[in-house]
Amino acid sequence: MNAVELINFSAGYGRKDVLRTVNIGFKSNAISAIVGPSGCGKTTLLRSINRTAELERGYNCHGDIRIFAQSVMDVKNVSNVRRQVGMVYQTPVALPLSTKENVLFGPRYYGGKSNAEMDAIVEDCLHRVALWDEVKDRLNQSASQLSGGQKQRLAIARALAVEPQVLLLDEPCSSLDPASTGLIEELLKELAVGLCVIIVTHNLFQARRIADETVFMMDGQMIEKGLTSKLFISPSDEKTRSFFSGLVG
Amino acid sequence: MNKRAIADKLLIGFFWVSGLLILLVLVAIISYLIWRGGPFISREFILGDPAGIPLGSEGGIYPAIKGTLWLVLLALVLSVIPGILTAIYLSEYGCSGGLAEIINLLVQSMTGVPSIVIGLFVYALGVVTLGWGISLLAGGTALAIMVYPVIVISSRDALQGVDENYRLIANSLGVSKSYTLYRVILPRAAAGIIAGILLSLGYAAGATAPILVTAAAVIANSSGALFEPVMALPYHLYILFNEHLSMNYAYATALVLVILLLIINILALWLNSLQERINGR
Ligand SMILES: Nc1ncnc2c1ncn2[C@@H]1O[C@H](COP(=O)(O)OP(=O)(O)OP(=O)(O)O)[C@@H](O)[C@H]1O
Ligand SMILES: [Mg+2]
Repeated sequence: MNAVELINFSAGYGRKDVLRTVNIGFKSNAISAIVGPSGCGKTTLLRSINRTAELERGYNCHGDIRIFAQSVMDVKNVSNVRRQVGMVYQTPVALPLSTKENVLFGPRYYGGKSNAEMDAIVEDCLHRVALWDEVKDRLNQSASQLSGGQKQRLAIARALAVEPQVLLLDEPCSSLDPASTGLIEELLKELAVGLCVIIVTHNLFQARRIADETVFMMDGQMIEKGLTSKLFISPSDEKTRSFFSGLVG
Repeated sequence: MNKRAIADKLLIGFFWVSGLLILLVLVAIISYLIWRGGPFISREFILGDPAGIPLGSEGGIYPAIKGTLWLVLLALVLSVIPGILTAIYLSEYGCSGGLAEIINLLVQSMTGVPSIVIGLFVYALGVVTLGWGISLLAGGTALAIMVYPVIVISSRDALQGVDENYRLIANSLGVSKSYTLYRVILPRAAAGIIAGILLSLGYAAGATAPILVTAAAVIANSSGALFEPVMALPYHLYILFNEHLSMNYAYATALVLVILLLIINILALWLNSLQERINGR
């Protein structure tokens, strides 16, 4: 079963169409990469899945998005969808709180946990993003002093802390150095066990390195989707071929 | 040196000259006040009641200082909470709605209402119709109406200055706006909001027109009772000067008022630069 499924999904801002009748399924326990030229609608697609796109002025959509067969479109309390679908953005940003409180930002809001359980969440999430050893001695210090790569891992930990089933990442490594990028790629592979990970990237090598499946988008449409190994070696669509050769070759 | 570099130099020179001119005017005003009023400032002047014949030509200005502080305090009590709440609505909740635009427009127009008109309005409504009489309550209300838009605009700008990414992150976690506001946005904007409140405090302390017809008396003990008239520094100054009671005391009173305002404004400036540093981090 697909973890996330877009069915005849279209979206736009005002009169401008951004996504046109997209049909894609994303698997659970796997990493899917979305690639495509700038402005083709990748961010809009991600933000539609966790229903934050509707915060933008003029956003409109139709069609359906399902998460584990449940439609998210007619959920009354959007908070439930957003909690289920974590999202990490391009710019590494720490909330102006301590490292610990960054991780607990969601859990404290949803409540219902003892202090000991909260501490356990912090340790567990920071372990999962390989940040624990670096910050365990300064959990209560401001997270603003962390490096970009650390902040981005903290952002992933913050998203994991509310136990999402889907994790969306929008070009998470585009402002990071190769070492931090490598670190994040490794931990994403580990996270994909038990989670549906969808990553938008401009780095085709990155898609090749970590993605089980890759989706190629252009002009708001899905052009081609397939196993990464297959798609990169023998794309069946002419547009995919020229996009890959233009950027890789 | 090329043309652009020369233009830059000229422009920078121009900024320097205009900055110096403003500084010069300020220094001139203050030195003149110190020269004319300084010798008359004493313990008795600050802490004594007006005395002499005619009243005010001797003694002190303590009730006027007290009255101004009461007026400003009341104005803030009445305006700060509504002002900040309006700002929060404008910045956090009404982003896409027509109502926010209407409120923005109203607030903007309120800044343009002459303060004497606000005074007359409160006179008609509060002093006469509601029977408050010339009173601290009426004066505080008039000043509150005057500073309300200032507080709204400065708080709104402080809130909007907070990194948009924080809201995006919080929204993506499904967290409510009020929680985000309370844990992140308000603490982040606090310095700017307080700076705006201080600026409007100074604005209220120096205003004469709104209290002229609503609160001020030539002589009063300014006890803080809501339904009694009060003395106030700017009004006292106006009387001393206008009735030729004592030019010396007029300058001394002006000096006290200016020093008070200067302290408040410097504090506000410092908080504003603190806020800029916070935003930059
Ligand atoms: N809030 C908005 N209001 C109006 N138009 C928008 C808005 N956000 C994005 N768009 C437009 O929608 C189109 C798709 O934008 P989107 O950000 O989804 O593309 P993208 O594939 O993520 O691009 P990039 O690779 O540059 O991040 C673009 O043409 C963009 O200008
Ligand atoms: Mg994008």
